Amino acid sequence: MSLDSSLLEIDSLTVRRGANEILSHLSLSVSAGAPFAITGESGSGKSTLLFAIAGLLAPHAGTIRVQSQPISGITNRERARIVGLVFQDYQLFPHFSVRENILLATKLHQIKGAAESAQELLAELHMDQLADRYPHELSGGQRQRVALARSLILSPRLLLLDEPSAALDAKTSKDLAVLLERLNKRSQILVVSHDISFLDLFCTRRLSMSKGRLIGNTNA
Amino acid sequence: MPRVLAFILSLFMCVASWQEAFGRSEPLRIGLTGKYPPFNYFGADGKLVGFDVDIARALCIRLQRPCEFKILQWDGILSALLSGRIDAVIGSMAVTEERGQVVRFTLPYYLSGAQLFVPSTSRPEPERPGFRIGVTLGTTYGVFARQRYPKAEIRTYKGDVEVLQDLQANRIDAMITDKLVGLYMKKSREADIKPLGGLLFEERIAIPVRPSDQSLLGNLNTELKALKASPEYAALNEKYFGEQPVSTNQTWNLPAMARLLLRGLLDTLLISFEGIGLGILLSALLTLITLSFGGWIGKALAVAVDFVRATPFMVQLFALYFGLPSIGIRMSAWNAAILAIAVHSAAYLTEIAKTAYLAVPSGQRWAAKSLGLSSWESLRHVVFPQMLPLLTAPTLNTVVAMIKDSAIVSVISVHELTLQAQELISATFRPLELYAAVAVLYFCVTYPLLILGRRLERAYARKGLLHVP
Repeated sequence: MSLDSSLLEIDSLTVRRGANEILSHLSLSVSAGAPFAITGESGSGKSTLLFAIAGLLAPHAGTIRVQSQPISGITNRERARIVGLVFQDYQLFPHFSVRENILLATKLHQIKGAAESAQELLAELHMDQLADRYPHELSGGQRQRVALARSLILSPRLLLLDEPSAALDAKTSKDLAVLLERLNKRSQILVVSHDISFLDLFCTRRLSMSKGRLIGNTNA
Repeated sequence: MPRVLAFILSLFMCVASWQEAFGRSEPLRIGLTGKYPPFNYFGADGKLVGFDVDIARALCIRLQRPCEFKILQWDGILSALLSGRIDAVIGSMAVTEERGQVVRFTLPYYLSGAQLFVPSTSRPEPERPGFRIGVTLGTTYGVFARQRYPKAEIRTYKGDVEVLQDLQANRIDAMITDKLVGLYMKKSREADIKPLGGLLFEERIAIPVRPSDQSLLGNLNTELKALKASPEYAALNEKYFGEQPVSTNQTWNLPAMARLLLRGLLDTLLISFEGIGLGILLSALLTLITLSFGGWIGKALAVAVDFVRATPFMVQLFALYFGLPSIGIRMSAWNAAILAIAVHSAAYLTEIAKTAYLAVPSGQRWAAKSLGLSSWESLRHVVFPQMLPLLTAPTLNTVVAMIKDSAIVSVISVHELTLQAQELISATFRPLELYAAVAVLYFCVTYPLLILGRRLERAYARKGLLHVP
């Protein structure tokens, strides 16, 4: 895939909650490249946009394509291998160990060689000593890395992160920025965050969002 | 030819006399309820005893036929007689005009009737306003009491034993029961009571047979006349209703009573666990339907669940057992009990399951979806395992509550622990010991379940799956 071909293509996306229009006629095109960020005040619709791209909520109008494939026309299982999402509060499964969290989807989707990939991922994230721990035994930063690994094991083309620095101190934020820059080589990173100093560490491509609309050059 | 004829004739006579001999030894099938001490009831050792039973045995010996007792419900006993399933009822049936139209009665084998009993030491004034008289629910005694003592306050009870208990505890001033029943209580339980005044009405107790069974009627009448004139009858009278108290050893048989109580406990457990098992399946189904169909189906089910939770278990039980037959759905008391427990527990369990489902953060379902899990996979691997810690203790609490509430099914004559104990109490009149034993038996079953619930909660808390305050 060439660098200038569009990885994510959003056309006139509208999402409503009740009478409120959270996203209105939003269009965006993101090509593969450096980590991409969307900034904006809370309530501007950033998270809703991520959830829509991840297929967790159905748009009222408009289309979302990843690698030219409309994500509304494919199954959950297919979509999970194209788009991954790391939630702001991680949403690890508390009844599973770190390893079980990471391997649940691969086990259900019968993906071969997942155990080895998980081991490599854990090593890369410096989590290999903690594979048998449970989420409540981990620190916030460690939990986030489990959530990253849980998404990355499915090798998504696009990895979405919702406010990844929200619960982290300055030191951990810096480590995360380094990590995300590295991970961007596997999966295109798309971050939404209002933490500009965090984004300054690694995100050169940015758009800001206000009241459900993007401001600036939406053809990045 | 005449020789052949003689042979056939003698053969015929032979068969006839053999038939007669066979007929004589055919058992006399006698219907009774087994629930009417001292006339017919199951003693502390589980054997059928009582005045009726002794009379029946004496008559069988005189008729040279073995006795075969059949336990039947009172309201079905005459149809059993008419349909030929039994030959006679020796179960303290009073002669009435209505009954006389469908069956033939023998001579009465005893006379009795409604009698007012008061504590021996009291100076009763039954004419005084507010005089408290206890009667058994469903008898005509209440009606007669109101006619005879219009100023009295009439209280109704489940059975004579309960009336007597309250009379002895001074919670009522007098009781009305059958004269012979009262005399038997006085004798067997050393109840300090005495009859006051004459009979409120007299009843003639006799044996009904089928109208077509003329020979049995004749034979029974002949033998009854002889029996009543014999010293045997006088001895029976003395045994049950005389001044000499019966020995309590006869009714206090510890191993037999323990056996009966344990059998009652087993039935309590069978009914509870079958009912709750069914209730768990039902609640799983209800929860799935409620959660997967919003809209009016979910709302209708929620209202149905609330309805069951907001109405008394006993009313639900009665509706199933006594109500459904009127629309053609009949079931045994045992099945009605299981169904009532299933419905009642399902309502509580559905509520518990719904609460547990909603307690799992919706982010967990979203995370599962974002990882490509189907709705079923999400429920099975992500949501349900997190519901489990929240379900365990409340479910065990419901099981415990249901085992305790299963005592209520005794009201439709299911022989579980509580009814078994009540029957033993009516035979032995040892309410304190027996109710204490029953309480201990319930406790032995329910307490481990409560402990188990607590242990599981602590284990879940250690795994970080549950917050225990």
